[in-house]
Parts: sequence; structure tokens; C-alpha cells
Amino acid sequence: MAVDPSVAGAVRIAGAMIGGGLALGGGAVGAAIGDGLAGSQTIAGVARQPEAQGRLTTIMFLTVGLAEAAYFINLAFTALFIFSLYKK
Amino acid sequence: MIGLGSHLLSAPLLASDISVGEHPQAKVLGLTVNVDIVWATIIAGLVVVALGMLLRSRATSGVPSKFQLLWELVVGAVQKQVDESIGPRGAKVVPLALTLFVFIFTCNLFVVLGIGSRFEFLPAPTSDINLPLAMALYVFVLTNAAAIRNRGVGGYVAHYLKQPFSPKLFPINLFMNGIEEIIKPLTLTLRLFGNLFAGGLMLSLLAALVIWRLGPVPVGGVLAIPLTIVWKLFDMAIGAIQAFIFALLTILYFDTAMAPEEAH
Amino acid sequence: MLIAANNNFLIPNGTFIVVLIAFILVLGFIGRSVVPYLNNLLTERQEQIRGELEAADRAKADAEEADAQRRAALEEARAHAREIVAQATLTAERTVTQAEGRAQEAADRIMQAADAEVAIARQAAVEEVTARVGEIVLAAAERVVGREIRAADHQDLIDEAIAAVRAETTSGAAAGAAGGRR
Repeated sequence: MAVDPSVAGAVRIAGAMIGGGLALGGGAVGAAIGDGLAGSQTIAGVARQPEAQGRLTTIMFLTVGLAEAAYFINLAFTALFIFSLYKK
Repeated sequence: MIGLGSHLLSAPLLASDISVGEHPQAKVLGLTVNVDIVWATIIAGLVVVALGMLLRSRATSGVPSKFQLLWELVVGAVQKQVDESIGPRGAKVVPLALTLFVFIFTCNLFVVLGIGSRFEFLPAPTSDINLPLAMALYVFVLTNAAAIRNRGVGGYVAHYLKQPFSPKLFPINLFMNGIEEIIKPLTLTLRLFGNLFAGGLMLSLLAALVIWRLGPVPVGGVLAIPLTIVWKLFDMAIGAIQAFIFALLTILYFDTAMAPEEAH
Repeated sequence: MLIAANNNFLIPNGTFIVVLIAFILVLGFIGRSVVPYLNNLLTERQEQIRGELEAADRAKADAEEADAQRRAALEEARAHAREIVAQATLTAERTVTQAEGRAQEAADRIMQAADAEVAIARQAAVEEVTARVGEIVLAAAERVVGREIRAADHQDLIDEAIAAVRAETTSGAAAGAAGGRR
């Protein structure tokens, strides 16, 4: 049974959007948790040892960069889903 | 700009209207080549080489200029990091880590030139999968070569089989270590690519904002300009951090590869 | 076909080889010219700085030495001055002492001369007195007795008296001389 091409296209767009949204949302949750942990631990560390603030800030930005990277990877996949893949 | 010409007042922004990750391509010797990425990479490389030449022509062992101080600062930071992580054995990693940092940083700065169009004039070369993948695979090959040189072929293979669990469970060990080893260049690639790609994507979305009008008022067009400026500043910071992370992780991977067997 | 190779930007293409070569070229340049060059530069500068520090140390040592010399010279001069002052004081004291001694001597001599004169005068007086005592005593006795007394008859008595007087004056003169000397 042949599927109506417009319906098939709509299903593809819907699937791409949902998949991209899930990837984006999951990545955002993970990155947010990671950033929050890094930030909170940095604050705790600075509170305990104020003189270590410079070094801790550097390490925090490094960790934030690593955590954010997961999100940006997801973002790339999302872009792949919703901007590229479903197009023939 | 983005193929939005037909959509005017309050037109729905369709995903199909934004094209990302597309490049003008050419066939060279049977290979598909992204022309803009090639040019951008060559220009970035020339910029780095020119900076190096400028350093060589200007540098003195006397009172250094600010330009020379910047170079010395970067090289000193890389050397310090390598010394702290690997120790004196890692002296050979310094040029690689330095090149990675400077080159990636220069490439990432190209986001400033982006306007969010379908084909950029000079896109950041790192916003295409090829350059990050090339660098990550290069690092991957070199780290494994360093590991083989460090432990010998037998030791290198045994390293995959004997840990983290007891050698009796060597299939599981092999699986886990194999996954870990493959994941390393993959994340290295995707981290850099994803960040820079997202930068370009964001610029595209901001440019698409231009079609948002309230009657005769170009709300989106007005909004897009400050948002683009802010995003580009943020993206430059991201670019610096990602260049740093790429170089740092390279050093750490070399550290793992060059570490004595007892450390594991 | 859902995934078209040219539609998926996560799949590398021929660009990979080109950018890899470009990257390796940049790496070669940095690794061959920039890093060793900068390292040489840094080493050179460290050498320079060390040389300068050493020169500064040397200059400082020189200055300290000169300072020590100056101090020593000053100290020497001070000691010399102190010595001269001490010498002068000593000389002055000696001069004073000599002067005092000489004055004392002169005084003593004068005193002795005076004593001698006194003694001579006393002696003369005593001689005179002794010479005249006999006559006076005889005269007194004649007047008392009312007749002439021959001196020869009473020579013994007179001599005795004179001896007594002489003894008395001599002892008195000796006592007087002792008192005057004091």
C-alpha cells in the first residue's frame, strides 16, 4: 500500500523534530547538571580556600567547556536531524 | 539569505528553510572537497605561519615586544602543562599541543566573519567535520604510536587485555578499552565540531530572525544585530576554551599513552 | 534513501585529506621553526639575565669592599688621632709633674737655705750670748756680792753654766729646725 507522499514527508518532519528536540533537551539537561555541579563545587572550593580562586576558576571553565561540549554535540546531531537528514 | 525570500509577514519559520552544514563542493581527483573549508583552512594556516614568521623576524633575546610576550606566554603555558602532566619525557608533545591550540584558536576566530548565510565567505574551518576529525585522528595515531613505543607491541596489546578487570575476563577488558580508545578521537572531534557548528547554526537562526516583522516595523532585523554581536563575543570565548580543551586533552591522552605500566 | 552522504554533515569527505595535509604543514612549521627558536630565545635571555645578575653581584661586592676599606681608613685615622691626643695628654702631664717637681725642689732649696741661715744666725746669737754670759753673770754677781770676783777662781763654775746654756740652745735649735722643716 503506497503512502501518500505528503503524509510521508510530514511524518519525516515530525520524527526529525521530535528526535531533535529529545536530543537537544537531554543534552541541555546533562550540560546544565554538569555546569551546576562544576559551579557549586567551585564556589565551595573558593569558600574554603579563597586564595585558590584563580586556579579554581580556570579549572571550572575547563570543566564547563567539557560539560557544554556534550550539549553542543547533541546540538550538532539535532541540527543534523531537523535541518538535513530528512531532506532527500 | 536563507531561501526565505518568499516568506514575508509572520511567515512560519520552517526547518526546511534553514540550511546548515552545506558547502560549495568541487570534485578533485574523484574526491568531493568543500571548497570554502579548504580555503579557510589554508588561510588560517597561513595566518599562523605568518605569526610565526613575524615572531622570527622581530623577536630578540633582549626586552621582548608584546607580540613576542604573547607567543612566549602561550608556549610557556603549553610547556608548563606538558611538564606537569607528562614530565620531561613529553617534550616532543609541546609542538603538537602548541600547534593545535594556536591553529584551532585561529580557525575558531573565523566565526567573527560569519553572517549566517547559507554559504559563508570564510567559515570557521573547525565548523566542518573534516578538520576536527583530521586533527583528532592525527592525535589518535600519534598517541597509539607513543603507547607502542612506550610499552612495546606486547605490552601495548596486554594493556588492552589485562585491565581494568582480571586478565581472565580479557574479552570484556578488550571491549571496554576498545570503546574507550575509539571514543577518545570521536569526542575530540565532535566536541570541537559541535561547538563551532552550533555557533554557525546560531548565526543562521539569528539571521532568520530578520523576517520577523510587525507590520512595517522590522523587529527581528533590529533585534538580530545586538544578539549577533553578543553571540559572536560568546562564540569567540567558546572558541578559545575549545582550542584549549583540545590541546589539553591531547596532552592528557599522551600522558596516558606514555605513562609507565605500573601506573594502571 | 534517508541518509544521503552529501546531506549528512557528520560524514567526512575529501576535504579531510586536504585539511590534514594543511594541518601537518602548519605543525611542521611550528615544530621546526617556532618552538626551538623561542626556546633558544628564552635560554639566551636566561643566560643574559644570569650574566646581569652576576655583574650586579660583582658590583655590589666591589662596593662593599670599597666601603669596608673606607671604614678601615676612617677607623685607622680615628685611632691615630686618639693616640696623638693620648700622647699630648701624657706630655702635658709629664710637663706638669716636672714643673711641680722643679717648683718643689726650688721651694725645698729655699727652705733649706732659710733653715741654714736661721741656724747660722742662731749659732751666732748663741756664740754671742755665750761670749757675753760670763761677763754678765760676773757683773751681776759682783754687784750682788759687792766685790770683785776673780774670774779665774770660778772658771769651773762659769764653764759649767756656759755648757748648760749651750746644751739648752743647741737642743732648742734642733727642735726649732725640726719645726721649721715641717
